[in-house]
This record gives sequence, C-alpha cells and structure tokens, in this order.
Amino acid sequence: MLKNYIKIAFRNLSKQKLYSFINVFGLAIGMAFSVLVILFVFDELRYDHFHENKEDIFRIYRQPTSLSSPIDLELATPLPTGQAMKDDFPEVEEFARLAPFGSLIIRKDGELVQQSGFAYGDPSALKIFTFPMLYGDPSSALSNPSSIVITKEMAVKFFDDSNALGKTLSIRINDEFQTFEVSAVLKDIPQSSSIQFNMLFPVQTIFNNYERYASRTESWDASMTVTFVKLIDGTDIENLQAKLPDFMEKYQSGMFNQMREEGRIDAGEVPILYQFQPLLNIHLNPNIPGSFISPSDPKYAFILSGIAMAVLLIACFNFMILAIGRSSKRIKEVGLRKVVGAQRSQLMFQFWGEAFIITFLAFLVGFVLAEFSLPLFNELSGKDLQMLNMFSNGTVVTGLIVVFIFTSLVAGSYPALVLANFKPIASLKQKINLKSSNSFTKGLVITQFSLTIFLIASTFIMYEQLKFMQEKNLGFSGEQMVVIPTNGLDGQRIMEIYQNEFNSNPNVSSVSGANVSFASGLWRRGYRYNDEVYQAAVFRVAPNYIETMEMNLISGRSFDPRIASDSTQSIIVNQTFLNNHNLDVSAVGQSFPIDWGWMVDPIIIGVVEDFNYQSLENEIAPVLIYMNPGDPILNLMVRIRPDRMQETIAELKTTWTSVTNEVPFEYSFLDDDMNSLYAEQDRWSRIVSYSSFLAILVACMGLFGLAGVVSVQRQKEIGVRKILGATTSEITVMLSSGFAKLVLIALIIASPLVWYLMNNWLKDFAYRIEISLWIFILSGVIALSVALLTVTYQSIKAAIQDPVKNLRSE
Amino acid sequence: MIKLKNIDKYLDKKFQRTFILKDINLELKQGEFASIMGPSGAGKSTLLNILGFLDDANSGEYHFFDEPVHNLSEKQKSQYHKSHIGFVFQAYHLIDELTVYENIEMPLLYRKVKGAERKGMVAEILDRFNMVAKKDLFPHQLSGGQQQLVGVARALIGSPKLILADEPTGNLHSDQATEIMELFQKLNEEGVTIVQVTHSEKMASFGNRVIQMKDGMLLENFPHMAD
Repeated sequence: MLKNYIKIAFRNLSKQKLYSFINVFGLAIGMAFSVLVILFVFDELRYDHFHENKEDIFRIYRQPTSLSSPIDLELATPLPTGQAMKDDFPEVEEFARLAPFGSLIIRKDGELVQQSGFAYGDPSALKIFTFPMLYGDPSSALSNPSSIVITKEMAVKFFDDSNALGKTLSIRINDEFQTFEVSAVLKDIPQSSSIQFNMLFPVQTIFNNYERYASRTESWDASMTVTFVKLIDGTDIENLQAKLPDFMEKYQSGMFNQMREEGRIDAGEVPILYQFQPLLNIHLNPNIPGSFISPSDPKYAFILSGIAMAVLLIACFNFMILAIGRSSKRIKEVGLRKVVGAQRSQLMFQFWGEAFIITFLAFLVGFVLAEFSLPLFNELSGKDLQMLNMFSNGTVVTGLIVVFIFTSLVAGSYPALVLANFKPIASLKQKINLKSSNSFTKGLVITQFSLTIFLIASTFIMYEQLKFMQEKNLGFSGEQMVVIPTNGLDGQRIMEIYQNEFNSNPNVSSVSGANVSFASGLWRRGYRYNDEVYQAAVFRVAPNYIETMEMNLISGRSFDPRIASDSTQSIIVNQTFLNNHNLDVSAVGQSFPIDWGWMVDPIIIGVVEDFNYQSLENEIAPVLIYMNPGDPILNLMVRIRPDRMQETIAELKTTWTSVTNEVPFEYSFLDDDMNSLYAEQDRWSRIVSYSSFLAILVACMGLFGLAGVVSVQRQKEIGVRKILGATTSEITVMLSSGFAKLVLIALIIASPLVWYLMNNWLKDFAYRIEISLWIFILSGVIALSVALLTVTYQSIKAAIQDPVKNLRSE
Repeated sequence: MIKLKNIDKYLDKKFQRTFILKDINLELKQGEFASIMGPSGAGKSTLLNILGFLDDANSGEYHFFDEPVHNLSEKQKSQYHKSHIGFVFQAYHLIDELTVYENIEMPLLYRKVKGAERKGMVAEILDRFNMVAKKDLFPHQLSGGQQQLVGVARALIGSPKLILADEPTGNLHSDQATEIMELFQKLNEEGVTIVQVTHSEKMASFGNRVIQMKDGMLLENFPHMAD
C-alpha cells in the first residue's frame, strides 16, 4: 500500500515537472530559511549552557527600589560584595569577581601588539564557571598573581603552539612591562558565551598594580567589579532576596545615612537592592547591560521567526493553490479509489503522504540551500552558526521535525481534507462544483501577497529609518573628525603636544579633546535642583572643543583658556538642560546650584544647540560641558581637511610615536563611529530585505503555476472569445487583470498591518521617520509589476494558442 | 439476491420535486445477466449506482442478500461493496499514473490482502485475460478495448458476487464490444451476477433479462407506459 502511494507520488512528480519544481523549490526556500532561523534561535537560547553549574550561577546587580531612587541600575558592585554574601548567607556557596579589563599591550619579539579581550577573575572563577580547558589545573590557575590564563587562539597567536603552559608573556600593565607565566590554556570560548575574554589575570594582579583597586578592596563606596555567586543547589531565591534589605543596611549604611541626612531618601528607605540574575537569563535580557558583551534583544529572534514562518506559509500556499488547480484530475482518482473500496481515511493518508514526500524532498534541497547560504546568513546575523552541529542538538532536531510535520500537514491539507471527502459518483462524473475552492484559491493568493507586500514595505521603512539616522544633522560634524584614544597616556599632555605641533599645519583645522568620544560611551552625573534629582550627560573638554566639533552656540560664549575660572566654575549646557528646568537664555551668566565638591554653583557661560551624542534611539538628556582638570581627557579630537587625508594621518602618527613607542597609535573617524551605532539596524534591515526578496520570489513562482492552471481551465472560453473576434492583447489583459485585482486587495489588507507593526518598531527610536504614503504606493507597484510580469507570460501563451485546437477536444 | 421495494430518488428544487426514480420494485436473482435499457435520462445509471451502494435512495427498501442496505452504516456498506461488488465504467476510469498491473492490484490493497497472495491473484487474472505482456504498460499506451479489459479485470479481481457495468461498451467499436460481452457471458456462466446499462439491443442480447426504463420508472412495474 505504502509502496503504491510512494510510486504514484513520484510518477505525479515527474509527470508535472513545472509544478513539482515550483512545489519542491518553493518549499525548499521556506525550509532553508526555517533551518537558518532555527539555528539562530537555538543559538540564542543556548548561551552559557555549557557551564556545568549553569542553574546555580547568578550575577549580582543593583537595582533602585523605586523610580525616585537617586541611584541607577548598576551592574558594577563594590569589591567586598561577594565575600560578604558568602559570609552572611549560607545559601551562597562560592563567589567570584570576573570582569573585563579592556586592551593591553604585549611585547612579542620586540614588537608591540595591542591585544584586546583582557579580563581578571578570582581563583574561584574557573571552578564556578567550567570553561573547557586544554592544559592546566582550573583550581590553581589563578592563584599566583604572576600567572595568566589564555585561550588556545592566544596560545597559537603568541607561541605558535596551543600547549603554551609555562611559557611567558610580557604585558604592559600600569605603565610597565611585566612577565606573566601561562598557567592554563582554555579551549576557545564558545561564541555562545556571554562571558568573553582572551586572557584572564588573577584578581590579585590587578590589586597589586592598581592603587584604584587596591585601596578599595574593603570599600563599599565604589562600584568596581562584576560579582558572580554560585548558590547551593535548590536555593529559594525569593527567600534569599528577602534578606537583602538588612544586608544593604549592614554594609552600606554610611552612604544611606548620608542620603537620609541630605533628605534625598526617606528615613528607613533602602534606595537600592542587590538582585540575583540567573546566568541563563543574562544573554536575552536587554534591560540589564552586559558586562562582557551586550545582551541580545529577543524581539529580533521573534521577528526572524515570523519572517521565516511567512515565507514557509507562502510556499505551503503555493502547494495548496497548485493542488486545487489540478484537483479536477485528482477528483476522478478519488472517485475511482472509493469505488474500489478506499475509505476516506485511506485517501487522506495518501494525499498527506504525497505532501510528506514532496516536503521531504524540499527538506533535502532546503538543507543544501541552507548550507550554501549559511556564510551570508552568518555575516548578516553576526553569528558563527554551523549546520553540522545542529544534528547533535536534540532541541534543534525537534524544531526541524516540527517544521517538517507542520509544512506537510498544511501543504497537504486541501487535497486531504477536501478532495478525499467527495462522493465517488459525483467525482467520477466530474460534477463537483469547485466554485468555493476558487474563492479559497483567491484567498490564498491574497494572503501570500499581503505577506509579501508587508515585507517589502517593512524593508523600505527600515531602510528609510536607517538613512534618516545616518543623515540627520546631529548638531555637530563628524566628518573629517579623527578620534585618537589616549589609551592610558596623559591626555592633557598629549593634546598640548598635538596642539603645538599642528597649530600651523594647513591640513589640520583644529585639535581638541574630551573625556569621551560620542560613540564610545557616556559619563553621567546626578545633581539636585529644586529638591529633585536629575541626571546629566557630562563632557569634560579642552578649551576649543565647541569650535572643533562645530557645535552651534545659541547664546553666551565658548570656553576661554585665558579665563582661569572657566576651568573650575564655568559650564556650557544644552538646550534640553534649559528646557528641563524651565530656564531660557537669560540664564546665561547666572550661576546654577550644583555641588560636586570640586565645582560649586558654576556659572552658565553658554548654551549649545542640542547634539546627538548617542544613537538616535535615545533622547537627548540635559548636557553639562565643563573643563575641570580633575577629570581626564581620554580622546583627542582632531579635525583635518578633506584633501590629503592619508598624509595628514601619517603625520598624526609620527607625532604619536615621538611621544611614546609603548602605546600604539589608534584612530577612527567620528562619522564612522556614529554609523557603527546603527550596525544592528543595518543588519536587520538587510535581513528583512533579503527575506522580502525570497518571499516575492516564492509567491511569484506559485502565481506562475496558478496562471498556467487557470489558462488551461479557461482554454475553451479563450477559444470562443477568439473566434468571436477578441485580439491576443485583449485576452492577455483579461487574464492578467484578474490577478492584478488580487494583488491590489492584498495591498489594502497589508497596509494597515504595516502601519501598525512598523510604527511599533519605530517607537524604539527617539528620533524617527513618519511612515509616508509613497512607501505603500511603491510596495504595491513593485508587487503588482512583478506579479503581472509573471502572469503575463502565461496569459500571452494562452492567448496566442490556436482556438480551433482547443475547441475540438469538446 | 437483490430486492428493491418502492425505491424513490428525487431532487427538491424550490417548490418542485423532480423524480429521477419513482416507485421502483425489482428483484434480481443470483446468476442473472440483466441489461437495463431505456432512453437517456430514464434513470438507468442512478438505479445502477443505488444497486452498487454508490448512491442512496430517498425512500424505499433495498435488501442485498437479505441484508437491509437502507439501514446499514457507511462503514458496513463500504465493507459489503468491497467484498461483493465490482464496477465497470464506460470511461474505464483507470488511474493514468498506474500501470496495468497496479490498476488491477488496487482493490486488493484496500482489502489489505497480503503481498504474496496479491501477486498470485493479479498474475492469475492477467493470465486469464491474456495481458501478461502488457502488465507494465500505462493506460494511455493501450487501445480502448484493452483498457476496458483492464477495467473488467480490476472489477473481477476481488471475486465479486455482482458486477455492475455502466455502458461498458459505449466507447468501444463493435469487435471490442463483442469481446467484452462474450467475456461477461462467460463470467455469468461461472456464476457471477451481472447488471449492465446499455443502449444497444445487441449488447442486451448477450444477457438473459432486459429491464426497460422510462422517466424513472420500470416498465415491468407500469406496463401501461410501454408506449
């Protein structure tokens, strides 16, 4: 029986080559897409699952207890936090401080190499976290402050040999090169780890070298590190959480009491609480910042799944539409099989079996397509997915099986549920009225094109928003602005050297400096005004910063290096700052009540127009710009002239190497840095545009098949019309316009959906485009012209046929 | 073997009831070879379909081997019809995608006959119909007469007690038609009851009973309508 079904399925396949191709290839595209998305989603869900104690590991962060709390959510904790928790709570079995430590310079054969991905950790870190280890003993690898743990990649990079145990590295730490002995080599850290590093110092090394840390090992006043704890198996988190107010009071009463005295919090109020965040929650919770890598927004996994589902549905609908188109032939078979004794269930089994076989073939082709498109998908999604790994993962295999069964069931549903139901005599005599399935077919085509138009319009909107963000006037000029990070050197000194060196250089317009460059971070400081607590973005700048950045001074003046008080008592604010406090430009020249110790009641000397120092997803906050020499300059800002840029940069480098040969010269352009903020949006708009291309391709394949079926069905009508004098073009228009109508209906259905969902997406951007009408018009025109192009071929083919031939068969 | 009592079949359209079969009373004995004749639209095929359980009457009683068919469930009917009845059609109704062998085999598949036994039965009937050499051909590679031969073979494969044939020779030229009728005669002699619908006196003459129909009625029930 089964053999019989398979045989007939294959004979049908090979007999109807075009339809088989459309079915198999269309489904294969949908399948390939689903395979990639399943890989993507399960990779997202798999983060940090390789640690043996994954369920018991928690990250500590601090959360304000109320909205009015003067302290923000903070990932960094004071250094003694972990030990205190271990001492006070029996539930805490072990703790480890484990935090990134940025880039350092390594000397290799006399050459200096800037190496990124340093971190430091407690000796217990390698016991709590089970990073796969190649060589060395995890329990003692971090005990000696002159040892270092490196990954295999680093071992090969610096020693040409993965077994680097006992070999030494010369690393520049706190301004001097020190020798470290490799105490362990880890396997390369899996990409699906939210803790990423290349080299790991013992925490003691940091304490020994940096006063900043050493002085605070027992201090609760400064947030210095990231703390992880391992709880005893089966700990009740809520129970543990309940003990925290007392814990906070015990260790941070100094800070709290001061706040209470200042009236910033009520008596007895605990403004912040430690929270235990499960390790497995870290990657997919974008609300809590990442310590090593940024967490991922799960919304994109949902969007991607939705798109894959849409493409797969379009392909399934092709299958159904073509099955309906050819059902007159299958109806006879149904009747006959019933006459010789087949039951409805047996026919359903047969039809679904055929769908299974086609889906299975599509699956195989889909795997090949997925394998070929994996490099592109990896590039688009920023992942390192591999097809081979997926079969060893039970969840992924389950996901694939679900997609497979779902597709077969949906694709085969029309013949199985409708055709198999027909009465034998009626079906043998072909007396079945297929009118209802005709409108069903139309419904399917409309759904397909609604989905397609939705994706096309979304592509445009995402692209428009991206373009808007990249081209918006940001309130400063990032072009030809070279940013040179000082990498730990004395910024003030270097800046002065550069200013002297390039003052008269015609290729450099000006040199300035600041604590942060816009794309690379932000300093915030709180202040009180009228009994409210506010938070400002603060920029410590060099004198001609406003001019160098080409910011627009609305009122007042810029900093003047000749006025001594400008360094300590003057601030420049932005427009938002004034608006927030109901001030206007008349505030210029007045003092503003801020007390930061080193600066009390500074004078507002100027107001700049708002500038976007962050990505346009974020609102502009009140900005305070000052020159206090107590804060460091960490970035030089050099505006160069557009011609001879390469030579100018070479000159900048020469000056750098004359100052230091221990820190390599690094630079970037500010506009590139700003654009890199939108890498994520750029990536997603590209993924969606590829998807909409696939969707329209699959939908048009189906339409092509359907147009063929319809013109065969209407052969007789076409023949009669031609004999009565219709021209070829009239017939072509008649056949094609029916499809055009469907696409227009799809446009009407898709538009409000696009409007609603894309406005929802745009809500994440503080600065966004309005969805304009032309997007819908353009999407409709594209869908319509592609559809007509597809259909017209079949229509013309039908229209130029010899009418006599078609009528003779009757 | 078959007893029809007051069978009515009608269509209701708005306020008008159109009778396709009216007050049919018919008895068929085992071993009969009956031909239903009459003008187009007389209800011959409908009667045949009711006999073969493919259609239900609106009223009346139908006894098949004393089993009241009008009271049987769909499933019981399907059982009966699988094991007792074979059909032959004017348009042959072979499945284009299956070979001669597979077309003949199909009823056995639905009857869940085991593989080896099935092979034997199909081989036997191919042999009997002299079609062994053609077993791997597809229907479109055969002449009409050969296709109908396959159709008959398929109807016979389950050794039915009753063969119902709806104008089995309607699409064939006379040599082929005669061949099929002679085959029917031979089967009838072997004990198979046959009911065929035909327009041709010549074809009817191969049988041993003629049932005349007109306007949904049997002339033997209403002799006055003969003219």
